[in-house]
Amino acid sequence: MTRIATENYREEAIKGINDPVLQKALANLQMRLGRGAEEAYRNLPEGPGLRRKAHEIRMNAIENLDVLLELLADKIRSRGGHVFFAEDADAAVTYCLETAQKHNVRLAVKGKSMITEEIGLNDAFAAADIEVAETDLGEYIIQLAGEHPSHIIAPAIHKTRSEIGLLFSEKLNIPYTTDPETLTRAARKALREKFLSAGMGISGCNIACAETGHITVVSNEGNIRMSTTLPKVHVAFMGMERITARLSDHDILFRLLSRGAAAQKMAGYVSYIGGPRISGQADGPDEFHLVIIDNGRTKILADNEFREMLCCIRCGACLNMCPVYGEIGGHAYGYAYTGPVGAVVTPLLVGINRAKDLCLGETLCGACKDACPVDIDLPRMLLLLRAKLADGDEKWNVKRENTGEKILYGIWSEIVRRRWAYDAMLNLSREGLRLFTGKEGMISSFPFFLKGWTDSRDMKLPARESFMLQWKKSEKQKRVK
Amino acid sequence: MNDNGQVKFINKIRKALCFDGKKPRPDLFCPKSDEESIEESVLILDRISNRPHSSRIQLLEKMIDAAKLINLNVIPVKTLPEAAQEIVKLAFEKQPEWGDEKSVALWKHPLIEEMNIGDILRKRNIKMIFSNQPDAGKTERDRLIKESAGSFIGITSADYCIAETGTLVMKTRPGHARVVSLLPSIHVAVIKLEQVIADFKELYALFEEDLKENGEGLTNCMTFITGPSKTADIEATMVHGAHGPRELYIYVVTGT
Ligand code: SF4
Repeated sequence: MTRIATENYREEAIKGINDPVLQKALANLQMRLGRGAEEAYRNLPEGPGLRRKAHEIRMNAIENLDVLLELLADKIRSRGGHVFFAEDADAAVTYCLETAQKHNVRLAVKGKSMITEEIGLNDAFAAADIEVAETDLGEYIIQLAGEHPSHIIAPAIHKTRSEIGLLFSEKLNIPYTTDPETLTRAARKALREKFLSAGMGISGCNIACAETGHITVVSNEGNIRMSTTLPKVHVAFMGMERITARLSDHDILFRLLSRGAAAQKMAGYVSYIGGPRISGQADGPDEFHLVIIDNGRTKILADNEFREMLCCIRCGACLNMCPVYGEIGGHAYGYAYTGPVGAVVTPLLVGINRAKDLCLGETLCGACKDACPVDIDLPRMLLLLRAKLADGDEKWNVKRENTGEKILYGIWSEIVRRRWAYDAMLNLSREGLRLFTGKEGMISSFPFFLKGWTDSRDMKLPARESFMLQWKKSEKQKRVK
Repeated sequence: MNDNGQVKFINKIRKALCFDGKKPRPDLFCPKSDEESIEESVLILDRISNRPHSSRIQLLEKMIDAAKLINLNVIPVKTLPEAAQEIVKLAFEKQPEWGDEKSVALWKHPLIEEMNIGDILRKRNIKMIFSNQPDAGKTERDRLIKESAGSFIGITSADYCIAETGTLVMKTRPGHARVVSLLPSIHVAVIKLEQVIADFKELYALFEEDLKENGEGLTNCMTFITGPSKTADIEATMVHGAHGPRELYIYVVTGT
């Protein structure tokens, strides 16, 4: 049921680059949030080094995941909550659907959560004829327009206010306006009715705490508090890695998360949820279900070189700094996770060959590593994925992508190891390249597979003499003087 | 036995981590494993309980500054009656968002009961909504949600307030309904100066103490609220009142 469109990377990337609205929005977003986060890290009393500490906290949790999840489940069950362990997307979706059907749910309200995108929950509910209303304003806009989110934190950045005005006037029956405040009010009203009548609330989980037995949900709009407080049944989904051992770990993680995600000191609403309402409490859900999802994560866990990726808290900070994401936008990544985090996680989840363009497209500039609140070495893993594509890999079931390239590099490495061969090749190519001289003395078109080099740029002709030769000559001249 | 897939799931993780049960595990939960942090945590608790009035006032000033950035109103008042006066004024001046009837939802909380604003509100035809916790059954739940959704002001207290960010910290207890700080258009919180602490570090130190000391823990739902509800999803323009309250007022009783 899950939507995977990683094969369309090139096509979608070109679309993104040619979309002037998206280009402006991306530049604005990266300016505001990317730079903002950088400054917010710098202003931490402990300095940016705190990110290293956060990394250790996360890694410690990942390496003891079995104990932590058991404890979390015990604690939540002891408060009357239900915990379900789902091996894959289907199991998770089926459990939630059955719970909804048991309670005759016709309408569910959902807070922004990437894991439900990952498992394709909305489509499954639609097929069962149960309405799922997205309640984050950005996601609501995207849902009304029948599209998919393009940014983790700001899903509707690719839409202008006049597009949204048109959309709302058509779907919500309000007079056309481009005023963000009026538009927000209209959505507030429409969604308020849904919150009050929904039979089920669906949320993700930010970072759970094993010691106390709580999940956490975070939002700025208050929609997740609504979804987890008003409906009679609350179902929360969490990737199995989203947990820490101790409550005090949350101090550091939340401070970093808020800064990384939205360059703010603290998110608007954070709730620790550990079970359904208890006797004497007048509100909160009667039933609480937590669905803990594997869906390919144990495979990442088992590989020491990729295990670090499970530290990710899905904050979106790496998107806000990434020069590639900043040009192509989120749709090209073709899955729930976009930007640098998507470029590593998506291939690991859906297949490295299938999502190869994602990791080949990134530049390895390192900006994402500096932006990451938990200091994940994304560039290292991008490189590793590329290595697997170049050489093939049995464990990850990767086929070698390009045999021709491999042979060429084989020859190249033989040549550069022999001085005489290298010099001969240089001399040959210096003369050879002159054959391609185009206008203004530049090389502007290569034939065949070399075309890529000259498609979007001209190349200068090589100098008549190599640097080494020039050097030797000038040394000789000096001596003569 | 139906364990909801737990055993299989956990075993798969153990396998991925190569745990055979022989390797010793680190003590994950020992609250403070190293000497240094034991000391630190004791120091923090000490600092909180012995904080002189003047430094508390300084914290309050810091909070007022932080609040300005997020459109949060932090208002110091000398006494509780003064807070009551301000709140009544707010109830008179502000207009309801949905419909024309004015009603106010309130927590059952000593601080709020002591303000005694019921009579004066009732005289002006402003309805009061409480949760009847002794019989908080299913119909009571529906009633409270419906009536809170129709209220234009919700009045609560809080467990703590964090000066650095202006964050209210609320646990869930009988009588302290969650919807009162969520559904009304305007959220008003009344706290005492002693409830203001410096930062999250202090908060988590207090929780740790709490976990050990009185076993209440975080309750089944604890919420941090930092400023009024907000969104920037339409062309990155900031709008308040996306879903939660549009305005938030915190009255801090400083004492004389
Ligand atoms: S990789 Fe780091 S920066 Fe990117 S989403 Fe994950 S935690 Fe955030």
